Amino acid sequence: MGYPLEKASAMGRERSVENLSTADVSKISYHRHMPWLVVSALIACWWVVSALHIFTPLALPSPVQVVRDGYVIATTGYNGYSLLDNIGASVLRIAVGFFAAILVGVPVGLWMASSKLVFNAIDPLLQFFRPIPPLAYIPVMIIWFGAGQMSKFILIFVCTIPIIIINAMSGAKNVQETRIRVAQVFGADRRQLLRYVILPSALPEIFTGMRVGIGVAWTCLVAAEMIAAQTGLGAMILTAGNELRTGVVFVGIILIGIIGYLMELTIRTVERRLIPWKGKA
Amino acid sequence: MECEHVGFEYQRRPIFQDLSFTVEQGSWSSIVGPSGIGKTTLLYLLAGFLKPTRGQILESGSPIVGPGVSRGVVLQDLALFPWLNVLGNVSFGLDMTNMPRDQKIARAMANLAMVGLADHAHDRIDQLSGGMRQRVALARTLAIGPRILLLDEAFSALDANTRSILSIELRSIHERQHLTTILITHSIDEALAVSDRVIAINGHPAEIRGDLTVPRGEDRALLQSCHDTVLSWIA
Repeated sequence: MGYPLEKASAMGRERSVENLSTADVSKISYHRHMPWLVVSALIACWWVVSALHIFTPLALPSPVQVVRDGYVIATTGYNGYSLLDNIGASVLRIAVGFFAAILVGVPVGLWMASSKLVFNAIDPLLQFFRPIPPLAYIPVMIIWFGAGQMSKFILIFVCTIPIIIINAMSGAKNVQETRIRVAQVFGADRRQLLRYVILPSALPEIFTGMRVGIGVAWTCLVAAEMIAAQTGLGAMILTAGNELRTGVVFVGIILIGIIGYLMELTIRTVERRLIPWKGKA
Repeated sequence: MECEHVGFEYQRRPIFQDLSFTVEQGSWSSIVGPSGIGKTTLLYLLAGFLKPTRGQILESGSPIVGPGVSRGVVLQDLALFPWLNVLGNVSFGLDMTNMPRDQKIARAMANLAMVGLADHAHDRIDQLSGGMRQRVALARTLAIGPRILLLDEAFSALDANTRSILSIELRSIHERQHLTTILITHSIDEALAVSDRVIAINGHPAEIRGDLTVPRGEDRALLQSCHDTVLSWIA
């Protein structure tokens, strides 16, 4: 059986590359290069402002000075630790704390969405802890868990889990009711509903939570490393600031931005692979 | 399938008060009424998603107590699962059973072939046209082997050509599989084109205003007369 009308309509929605006009191609190329253009423009502005000596080099080192400092700490280290040690320490803390928050937060969010009792039990705690700034936790974390890794893991966990829970819960609550109805017709039990309908439906919002959460995780981590840590990018920035090595401070800030952006891109890539239908169906 | 003095209230507002009708096995009945009258609510009652506040609905003599595989439902928004491909959607109902995997796939493919989508088994849902999605929803429902097929505005979102092709195919499937089909629609033409019988509901609370056996054949004058009669019931 053939349905030429429908096939044509389905195919018509996907324009092939051959059908794109020269204007379309140049527009796509322009859009693709936009991030590089913006970054280049910012660096150029920075360069001009530092060259004009509007601020002292201590307040605003030139891009060349920052690259030079970056090269020095990448080859010889800083304050007794190599750059990789500092990056590795920060990334490890983020990875452990944030993944733990996802592993616990997603099931808790789904559970809260499916049970009024669980929602009523957890929601007041969630709303109580959510607005507390991470800096307020740090002294308590150090007293309870020491100045080692554990206090940083737990701080990132505590600061990011509300975001993960709220997004997972919201995703599960926003499941199209008719999808649940249809699954019920097919005889799906509660467990099957959760696994085959609710969890996949909630994935777009869970990923949104992860993307917001990763930014919050970096904020908490750097704050924690500035207060109680020997290694990590936050500790490196604080030490460099105390020694008036502004170039190293800039290296730290830029590295945090780049690593945070790479993590965001990783989450986006996984999201595209796992949820190709997002925004389309 | 029998509706016996069915009443239903939503937020203390009566939607139906005393709805009674019987749908013969193997027949195609359409329930026609204006928008907002409670047609979808009636389908939800027939499917077992909702319970009547009075009266009862019987399937083969037994009261309906909840949704079940004997009553397949194609809802207005189709409720397809975009995270699954076409084959995954059609075999979804079979995945809820203990059927061996190769049997599930064979049955799902047979149903996809029946609706003309065998070549699209591995396509994503968002790559399909509206008519193709409608076919996927139909194949998914038929794959579980229901005795009764409940259709909620099954053709309303389609263009005229697709609607015409799909209604002919659906009628043919209905006859081949000896299904009892109930179509909920606001379109009199659509109901007359495919049904053996049209039940018209109207009013607040909704009640049956007329019940008509549709003559089969190409007599346009007769069909126009049926159309006018149903229109007079629901206008």
